[in-house]
Amino acid sequence: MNLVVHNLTRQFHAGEREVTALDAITLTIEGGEFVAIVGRSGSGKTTLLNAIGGLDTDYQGSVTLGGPDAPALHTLSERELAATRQRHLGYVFQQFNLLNHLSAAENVALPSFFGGGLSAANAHQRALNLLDSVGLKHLADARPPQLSGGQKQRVAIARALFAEPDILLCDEPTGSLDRDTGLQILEIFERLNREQGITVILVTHEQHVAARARRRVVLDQGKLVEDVAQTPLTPEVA
Amino acid sequence: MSSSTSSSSRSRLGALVTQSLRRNRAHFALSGLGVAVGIATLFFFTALGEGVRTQILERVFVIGQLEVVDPAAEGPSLGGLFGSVGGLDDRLVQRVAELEEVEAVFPKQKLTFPASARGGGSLLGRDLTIEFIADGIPQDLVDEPITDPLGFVDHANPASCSASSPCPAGFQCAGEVCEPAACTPGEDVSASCGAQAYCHAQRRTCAWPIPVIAHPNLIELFNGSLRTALKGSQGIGGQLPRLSETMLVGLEFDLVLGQSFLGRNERAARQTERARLVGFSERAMPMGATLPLSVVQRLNRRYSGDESADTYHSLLVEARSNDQVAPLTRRLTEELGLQLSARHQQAERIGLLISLITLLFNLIALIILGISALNITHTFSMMVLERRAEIGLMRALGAPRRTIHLLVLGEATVVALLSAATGLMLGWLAAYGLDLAFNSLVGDFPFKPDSLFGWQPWMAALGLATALLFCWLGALLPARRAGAISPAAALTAR
Repeated sequence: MNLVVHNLTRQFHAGEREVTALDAITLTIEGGEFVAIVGRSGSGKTTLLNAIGGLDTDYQGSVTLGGPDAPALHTLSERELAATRQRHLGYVFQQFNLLNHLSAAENVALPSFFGGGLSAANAHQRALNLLDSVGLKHLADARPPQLSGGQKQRVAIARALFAEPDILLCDEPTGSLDRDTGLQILEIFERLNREQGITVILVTHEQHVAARARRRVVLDQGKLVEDVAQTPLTPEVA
Repeated sequence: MSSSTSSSSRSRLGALVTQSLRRNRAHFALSGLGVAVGIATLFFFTALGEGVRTQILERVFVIGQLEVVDPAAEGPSLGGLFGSVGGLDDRLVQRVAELEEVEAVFPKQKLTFPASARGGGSLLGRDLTIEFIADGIPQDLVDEPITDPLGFVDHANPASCSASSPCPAGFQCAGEVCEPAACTPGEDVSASCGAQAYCHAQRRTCAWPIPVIAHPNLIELFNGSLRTALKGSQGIGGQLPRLSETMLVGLEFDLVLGQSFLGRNERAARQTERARLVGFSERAMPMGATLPLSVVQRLNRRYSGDESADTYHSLLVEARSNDQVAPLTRRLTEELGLQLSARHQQAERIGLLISLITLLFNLIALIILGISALNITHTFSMMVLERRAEIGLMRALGAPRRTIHLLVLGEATVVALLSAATGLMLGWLAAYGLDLAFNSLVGDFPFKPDSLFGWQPWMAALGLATALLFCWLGALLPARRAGAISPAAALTAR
């Protein structure tokens, strides 16, 4: 599934001042790419990711998922946008965003609470399979406070994969993890990209993380200043 | 994967609501407490109002029909549009019966001459003589089963006869009219006169006891007031037994017609007839006795003349439905110039008073519920604020605004259901306690009810509906706020 960002401008009001977070960004990401969006704090990385993910549609320009005839996200109704998020997009956040009162398996199966028509038993089985794929099946009943940071992030990845998304949007996914654990998480993304063809768009400010992607998009003060293909580094070199 | 909201997804959403409730038990319990108290108050006072209304308006006063009287009884003319008709006679009965709102009309006539009753020795040890105040009603007005074999029937009503249509037992055909057959006092007349007849000592003809019914409240009055007041006094008053309907049905006594303590009839000679209490009915005169209408008319004709026998004292008018009572009242009073009986007017006033008091207490309950709804708004708003990131995550994972609304309203629904159940239980317990105290601390008095409360299934439904209404009202704003949370803002807030 292709992603086309066209002339995207996002402004915020800071008191009476208007701040431009994204300035006429135009970008096309083909299905199956592994893209790192890098830049310093405040460069607009997360704002761009939110726009791409349909979490924010209050911008000028357009973001389109799918073929040339696909409607821009901001033209979709709230319900259609929610459905698009559920069908096509998976999110992984820096702070994991797991619900502490649910078990790991229940967290993974959370999308099934909002649609999809899976029965509770089927949803649970699917959650167990996904936890197995990230090496955490044995912790299916554990609650998030009982898990390490790396384990939490792997649960969050499993949750992002629950609805079999076309695109995985990762916002500083290793930002709260130590270097080794972060590398393990990156390996999961690489595997998903390589083996399942899932498009991975990863926002990071860490150079060694960005070095694992096959394409690097650099933002600076809301502007796209660099968009280059690169040879991903192996974990040893990184 | 389909995004359509399937029943499976709805049930899964229900599971999410349950988990959320379990996690925030204390918050929800506090929110629900106010609602439960409000529902308990509403339930308690509604049932109390209903109970008092039932006791007073259905036992002390008889409602369910209108009783109208002729205002001319207190003034010079009938008035209204009725013109030439001079009182409550058969023409007026016919005219009222033809009104579209009317189901049935039952004329009532009082005894219009002095009479007294003597008897009761078998129960009290000595015969008592009292003034006999009575009215007559049509036999088909009595709904209650009459178990006495005599029945509430005018046996002495003359019937026509011929060679092919002989008279019943105890009568002989004289011309074309059945007249009581001759008999000899003191002899067994069951074969010649019939099982329920006796031989009248003066007339020496077959005779039948006059059937009498009484209002059940009279037993209440006797047991609750008279017997209590005379307890321990000298004479038979001190040994009065506690009476019941079973003890009294079949009791026979003498009626002295044409003479009483207060006066004597000049028109016809004094005469003694036997009477028998055949049963109790809510339709009977509240403070007196009730006979079949034809008996009263026959006696009034003999002692007071034809005009007295052909004029009724009141009409009991049954409306086709409760909705018809108000228009029927208007037509009876405004078009026909009749007026509601004083008793009915009093019942109306008391009914209004009870309604106002019930309304007042229910208003208090609604105020409590209103405050509870505000409390729910506050608590749910706080919880939405606390769960901002969680709600943002749900929206990121594909939950539309409507699902978030349903989640919050679902939580409010569970709070409402639990609060309603708790409130109904509290209300019932409070009522049970009050009944217990009332029955043990308050002595016997006339019409003392077994319970002060009138429970109806619709009250539980009302409690449930009210709890749902107020909980939903309280949760509406927080639900909208929750639905409006921007996932981007909620998830990127560090």
